[in-house]
Amino acid sequence: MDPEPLIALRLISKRYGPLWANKGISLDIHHGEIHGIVGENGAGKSTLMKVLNGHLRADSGEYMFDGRRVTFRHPKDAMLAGIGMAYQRFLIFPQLTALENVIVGCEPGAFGWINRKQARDEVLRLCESIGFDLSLNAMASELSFAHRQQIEILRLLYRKVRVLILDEPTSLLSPPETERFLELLRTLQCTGHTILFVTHRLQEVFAIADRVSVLSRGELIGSFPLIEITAEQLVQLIMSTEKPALGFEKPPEAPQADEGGTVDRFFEIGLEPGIGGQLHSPVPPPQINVGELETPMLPSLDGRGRGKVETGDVRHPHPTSPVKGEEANSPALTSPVEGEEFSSAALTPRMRQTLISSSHKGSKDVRDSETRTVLLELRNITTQPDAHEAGLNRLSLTIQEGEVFGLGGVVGNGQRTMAHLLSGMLQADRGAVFLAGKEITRLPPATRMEMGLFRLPANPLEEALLPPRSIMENTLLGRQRHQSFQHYGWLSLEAIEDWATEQLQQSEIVYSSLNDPVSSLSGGNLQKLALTRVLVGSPRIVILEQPGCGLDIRAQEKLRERVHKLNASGVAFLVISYDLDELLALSHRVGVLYRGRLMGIVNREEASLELIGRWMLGMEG
Amino acid sequence: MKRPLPRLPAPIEKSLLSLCLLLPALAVGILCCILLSLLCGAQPFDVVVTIWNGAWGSKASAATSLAKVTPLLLTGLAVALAYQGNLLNIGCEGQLTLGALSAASFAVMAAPLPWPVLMPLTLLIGALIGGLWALPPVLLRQRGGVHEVISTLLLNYLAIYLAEYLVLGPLGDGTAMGRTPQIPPGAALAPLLHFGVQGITAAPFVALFFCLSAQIWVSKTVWGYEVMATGSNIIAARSAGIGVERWQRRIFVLSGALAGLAGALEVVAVHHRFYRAFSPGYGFDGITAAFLVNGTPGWLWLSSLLLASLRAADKWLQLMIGISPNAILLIQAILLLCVACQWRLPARWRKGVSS
Repeated sequence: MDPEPLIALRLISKRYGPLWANKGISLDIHHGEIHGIVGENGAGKSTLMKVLNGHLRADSGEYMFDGRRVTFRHPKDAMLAGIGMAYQRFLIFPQLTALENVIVGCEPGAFGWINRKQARDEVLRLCESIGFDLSLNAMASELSFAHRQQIEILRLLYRKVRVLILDEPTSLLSPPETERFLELLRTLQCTGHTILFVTHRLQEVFAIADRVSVLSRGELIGSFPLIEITAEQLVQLIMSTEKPALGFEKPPEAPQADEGGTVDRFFEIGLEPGIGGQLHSPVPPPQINVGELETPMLPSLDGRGRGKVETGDVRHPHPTSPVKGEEANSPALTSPVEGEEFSSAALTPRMRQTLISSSHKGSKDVRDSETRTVLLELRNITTQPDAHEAGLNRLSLTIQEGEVFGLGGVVGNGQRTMAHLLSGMLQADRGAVFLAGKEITRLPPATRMEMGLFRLPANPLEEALLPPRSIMENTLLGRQRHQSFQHYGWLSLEAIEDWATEQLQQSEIVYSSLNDPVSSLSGGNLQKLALTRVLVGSPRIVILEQPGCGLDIRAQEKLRERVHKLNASGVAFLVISYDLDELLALSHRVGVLYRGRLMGIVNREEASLELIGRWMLGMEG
Repeated sequence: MKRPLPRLPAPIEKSLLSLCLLLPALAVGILCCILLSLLCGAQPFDVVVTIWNGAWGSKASAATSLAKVTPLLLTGLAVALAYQGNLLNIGCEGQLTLGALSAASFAVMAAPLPWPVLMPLTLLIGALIGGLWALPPVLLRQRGGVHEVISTLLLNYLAIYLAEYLVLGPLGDGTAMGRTPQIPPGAALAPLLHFGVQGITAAPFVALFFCLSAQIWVSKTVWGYEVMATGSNIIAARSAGIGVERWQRRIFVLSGALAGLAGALEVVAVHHRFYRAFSPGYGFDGITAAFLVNGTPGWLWLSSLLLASLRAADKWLQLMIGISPNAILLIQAILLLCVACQWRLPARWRKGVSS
């Protein structure tokens, strides 16, 4: 390798109050390499990336770029020097065309006039050189996530950056899109770019990275050439240093963010795909040519990746887990796609956790489910689409008592519509919904909740909580008319306070006073609070939208415990997630929505990434 | 910078925070008065002293000021309550005008009724008409997506000119004065204390009672909680099973009814009849009164007293210092601006205030 690193970090530290986001990180990035950054939620990956691109300034440490010491005060400085970053939530102007989105802030021309022809030629040339199929005249709001990502990348290339920093670039992409994206990274590498990418998916690291750095609790565990490390070792490195995540919770007394709310962003650990995007950016389902499906679904592996299959499984503490079963019996194993087996080998840590806690359930329930009674039934539901989300199209579905049904699909294909429809926030044009045999098609949310149907929305602060109000008022919401909390219309404040304190303690929510505004809680705690409200009481069926969102690994495990406990007592769940790992780990059956249609339903044991991937793109299995 | 202060009970703390918005504004307001004095070549505190003397200097002026407090309390409460549900009622002026007209006309027409029936009915009719006038805007908002600020603002003009037409025609007293006949004595509120020219009636106390009850209603009852939830995050409230549309309608009609009641009380307690251009802007001052205390009904008496004093004293500025009475508007605007600015202050600063 190049003896002189392109980027050299020396003892970079960044601190927020008592918390070290980055602690003494020394890292070399060599010219022309693809460098993966992995680590748990809240390990400090995003902070480090933001330090690199000038969004944040380190408290101490040296930052050398191209042999010179640099101090970036602003991402613009870094961009001028040749370092650009694409954020996890795409920063796209939906009202502008793709071309305008690429050149915004850097428009060619003079005296306020934009030389569109020049811009167009230049961007087109870029597109051709790296094989993008972006139509430059399309409105950004009409583009798929894959195309939006192309815009982000083009933006960086248009500004002639040499180093691309990508924060979880594949989290919103379907498997084939991911494959193409990884190809793109290789192309960029060939054209002399240096690439840093943060990811949770270890298989991607093994597929394309040259070196990988592991972060944990703000410290750099080490950087390793991929040739020298196995998936097992890498997982071990990430997991071994795991500690109870409480230390990462935002302490209630922590000072407010000084630099544009970066503390908050830092604490939004583990943002799941789609959470930000779906609210701001309408997503039509991806356009895809039939031909593209010939390409393998998962990164094809060169020699490095193979051989770790067994080791990954050995580390699994429950040999009878469903995944083990899948590897042994499932027809998916015979799939020509090499990556199939790999996917369970290089398990993401989160998925491992999931499996550990879900394995005790086993797969018995699924077989039983045939005999169980139908709890929720949708018959031929059709709804109107809105700007951000496909409407449902003659959708029929049944969920049995005690079943966990997972609903997957690319963002915007009707998952949110489904959640809104079931919770009573949206009325169907046609069709009927039955809960335990009673029709609930036209009933308001309150009645549905009385009947035991609850929903955890994807973004609690926007859809479940009252941001300016106190934690106590927020805990109470929805139960204010409960007998024990009111007496002839007067709120029994003491009873509410006792009850809320108990609930918050049970859910391990860290807060300083019940009277503090709920917005003073960290993202993870907000999610816990919203979840508590849903799970407390006596639900019969719970709709969980992005349940793992914002939760650290410990809280996720606790959530799963609670779900499984309730599930064992007969509560059904509808889990909506854009994260296939999460979906497969939680659910007994998985269905995939595409443009408001249910492409198919498959038992977890029979589910393969390939099948689900095809469904996500609207291809029949 | 972080000194832990002893914590007060939450409701008190919250309500003190509302006050904290007013006090710095008041300080800036007084500073402006001093500047104004200096600009006009008077002694620094002349303007402040004149306002004080004009409003509270004598029994007569105190009675006048107190009479002006009543409509401000009620229209302020109307705005504050609607604001609890995150609705803005800019239409108090129109609701007040129609409430006053209908109360006066009803009292004249139903004159034979005994006073224990006539008086409450008169007030009720005023409130009813005011509430009805507030219904179309909220329905338009829910069904047609018309923002209530626009519709209530426009309905003000409709109300004022409608009242003018009615009072010059069918409901007038037959003169060209543009006024209704005087209401019968049974409908008029007699002064409790014979203070100055007008005396002091029970009206301001009734209004104060409404404000304090509203404060309790908002903070201690399930309904108040549901209105608050509706106003804080309508999506969350709806998914929590609260009938948000119904609450919006109720709270907005209640808001209109309070403004209508303000008009009716004004007729019953002060003018004993309705006349053209009845309200000198009480509806709009109500907005100021509500926002000066951040929409907290329990503190409305403070902002209403402040605004009423300014209003009562404006003539005196002209007489004593030779400043245009409109200078009062300037001071009022500065007060409001200061309060509005503080809403935008960094959270850190406001946190320092609250804890």
